[in-house]
Amino acid sequence: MNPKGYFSLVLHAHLPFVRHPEYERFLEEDWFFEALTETYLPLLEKFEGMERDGIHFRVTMSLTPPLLSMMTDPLLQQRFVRYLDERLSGIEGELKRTQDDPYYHPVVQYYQQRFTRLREQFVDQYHLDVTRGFRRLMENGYLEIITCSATHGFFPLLATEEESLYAQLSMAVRTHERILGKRPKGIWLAECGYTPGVDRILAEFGIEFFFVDSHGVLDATPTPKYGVHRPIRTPHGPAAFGRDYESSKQVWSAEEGYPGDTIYREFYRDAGFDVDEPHIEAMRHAGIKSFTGLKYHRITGKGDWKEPYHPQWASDRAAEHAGNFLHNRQLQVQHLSSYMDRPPIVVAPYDAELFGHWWYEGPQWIDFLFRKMACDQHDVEAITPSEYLNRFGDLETAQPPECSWGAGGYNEVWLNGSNDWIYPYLHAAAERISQLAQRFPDADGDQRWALDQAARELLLAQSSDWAFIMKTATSVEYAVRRTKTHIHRFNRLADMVESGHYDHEYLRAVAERDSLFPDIDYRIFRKSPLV
Amino acid sequence: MNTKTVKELKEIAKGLGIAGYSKLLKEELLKAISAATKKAAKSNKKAASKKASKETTTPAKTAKKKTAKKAAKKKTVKKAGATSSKQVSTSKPEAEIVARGVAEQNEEERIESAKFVTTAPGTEALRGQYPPDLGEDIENLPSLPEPRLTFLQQKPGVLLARWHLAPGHSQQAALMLRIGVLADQQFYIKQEVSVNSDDGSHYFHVDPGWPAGSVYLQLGHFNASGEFVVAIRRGTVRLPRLFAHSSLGVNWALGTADFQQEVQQSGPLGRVPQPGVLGGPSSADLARAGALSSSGMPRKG
Repeated sequence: MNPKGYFSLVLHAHLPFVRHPEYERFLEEDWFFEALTETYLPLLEKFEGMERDGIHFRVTMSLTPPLLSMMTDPLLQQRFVRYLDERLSGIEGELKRTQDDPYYHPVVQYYQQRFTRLREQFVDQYHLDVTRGFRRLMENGYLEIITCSATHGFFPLLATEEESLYAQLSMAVRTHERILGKRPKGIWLAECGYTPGVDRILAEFGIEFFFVDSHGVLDATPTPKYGVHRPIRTPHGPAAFGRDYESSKQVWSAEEGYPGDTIYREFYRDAGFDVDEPHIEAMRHAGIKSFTGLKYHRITGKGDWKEPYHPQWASDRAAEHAGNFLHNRQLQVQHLSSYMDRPPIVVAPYDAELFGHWWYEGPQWIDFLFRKMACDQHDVEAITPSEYLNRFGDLETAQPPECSWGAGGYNEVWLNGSNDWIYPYLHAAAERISQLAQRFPDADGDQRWALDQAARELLLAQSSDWAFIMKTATSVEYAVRRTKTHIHRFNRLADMVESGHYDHEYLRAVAERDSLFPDIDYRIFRKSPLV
Repeated sequence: MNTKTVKELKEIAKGLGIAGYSKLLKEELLKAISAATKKAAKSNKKAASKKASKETTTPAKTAKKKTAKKAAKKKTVKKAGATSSKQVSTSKPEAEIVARGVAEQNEEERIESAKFVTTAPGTEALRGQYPPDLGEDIENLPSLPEPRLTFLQQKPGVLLARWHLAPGHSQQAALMLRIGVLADQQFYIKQEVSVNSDDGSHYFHVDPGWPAGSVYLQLGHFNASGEFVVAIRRGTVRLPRLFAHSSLGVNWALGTADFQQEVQQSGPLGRVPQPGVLGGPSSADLARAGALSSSGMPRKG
């Protein structure tokens, strides 16, 4: 195949580290279980189907360190099995409740098949650890798995203490290698947050490429000749791939985007809200109405009236939309290649959870897209960033501006009246642990224990998710609580180190709760890579 | 409501007193129930409002009015609930409210935030069941170790200044927050804001064309001699799309390198090592180095 251009699908898979062993059930752990149910397992199923059928496909996925940690955590693995079993049990009740209903009974039957399959996949195929599936696909060349800052720290607002960037990157590379067996070549900067100088630190970690939003390339200095359709070389070496606006819009846009099609499954309607029965109640957390994953309606249209969901109709529509998307990419690369001196690359990055969790039919759409791309045309070929750089490595050098992919393109989502209070605390803590790392370069025993745990607490507090949630007002109380809790814990641990008086019971309790990164080393908070 | 089976809908219709309900198809049942529910709600609302309007005039009757409204609300709920022996969902599902709650957001934000939606808005109040189990004082954050000035960029042309002072310090002197820029071999004070609280923030709207690497934020006060005494200082903020460049050269009274060296000498990123409201080098000191005008006016280098 000698394509006119290349297409690179980039899926950023991330959730903050939410694990509460101190409670038997915890509502926010459902974020992870829902994503496993609707995104990660379905994506693996589709990827493996394509592999089995000999389809050429390439996907770049960032599996962030907190997500990898949760995927491999025994407690969360067991709780996810419980989550699946509760759904299967609830579905039994729903089958009885809807047995005389010709509209909804088939939907419930569909869910019974889905959840049964998901359980088989999770328990029998992956033995509770889905990273096995991703790793195998990576080793077979279908996936390029890249990393992300250790706890999704947003670099433009942490860069005032460069030690934080080193710490975020050290734990990212270390965790990636520990769980996936190799060092990452690329990184997804959290929220595509780039600030000049980050490329220098990335180069120190051996990172070869990263991604920026469109204006990160279009506003670079000097202005790159071919815009976002060829990566640029940053001053310190790593390549920056720019997001293609056109392909993004086709999926993201509220008006033009595919996920808004009325035939697709409605996200917000859920049996957890609509049905008050004991078998639904059993899935709830202390009686709080919440999502169960049993969603029986299609989008239908604006307004409250919703028609029953029809999986086959939705699947057919996903195939149509994949065909439309591919046709547009063909036209796009035909046009671009007419004036470029080498084949263009169209980089289409999305949140992985968009596919499946938000847009339920998204994994099917990806499946159809690559099958059509492999079988129905010769203009566009799927490629990973590493493959592209191996083929076309001589790039223009340009300096990207500070940028992100958040609303407005800069830092406003993570720095505004709802969340700006966190930064003095994050910066002060980073200064403090950096000083402690200098002062105690070879800590051991209790001192080492407390310093390592303090480093964990600070990394957890630095997660950009908390600021994002405060801004978007979804689970604000939880985000505020998490931020404050980690700051409190950090301070108490730092106080112990400075005073030399250690509370072992407290240390044990905190280490049990915030157990992220078992191989952490507090010396990551220094201005040099520690991997 | 349309998740209900025909059998369940017929029970609801029976409770609502809909004539001929046993012969209706599902679609007809839904429409009839919807119409009957709306009618009942309207009638109850009207009754409640009529009752309340009779009790509005005197303050003494206010409590009664509230009680009446509550009663009316209760009555409505009770009637709706009485339509079936089983609990049924209301005609406006809570999930729809969730959707509307985030509809105003940017579309990508809305989709991304869907990862964190598990309950309807307002449910958080119920989360009191999850207290901080290691005794953290969640209502209060630990005090910051020293007076602190945070200086961050939000977007081109907007910079955040956030200050934290020791309790009571803001009352000891007429504190000012000043933002300035080094340009044309002079240091220009561009904006000044009074600081009246120990903790607070201010978003400066500035010219995005200011040269990066020379934006400077000071917190201090004017002394009896009219000099501005700097307590805390932050500088060299990065500005989107604008970069420190080599044109800030040796002919400048205080070029980038000198400026940054001066900032470093006074602590990380311009923070004075032992700050306090009256501590740190004054602008007069800096003026002697050829950088600042002690009065804050432009000064030739």
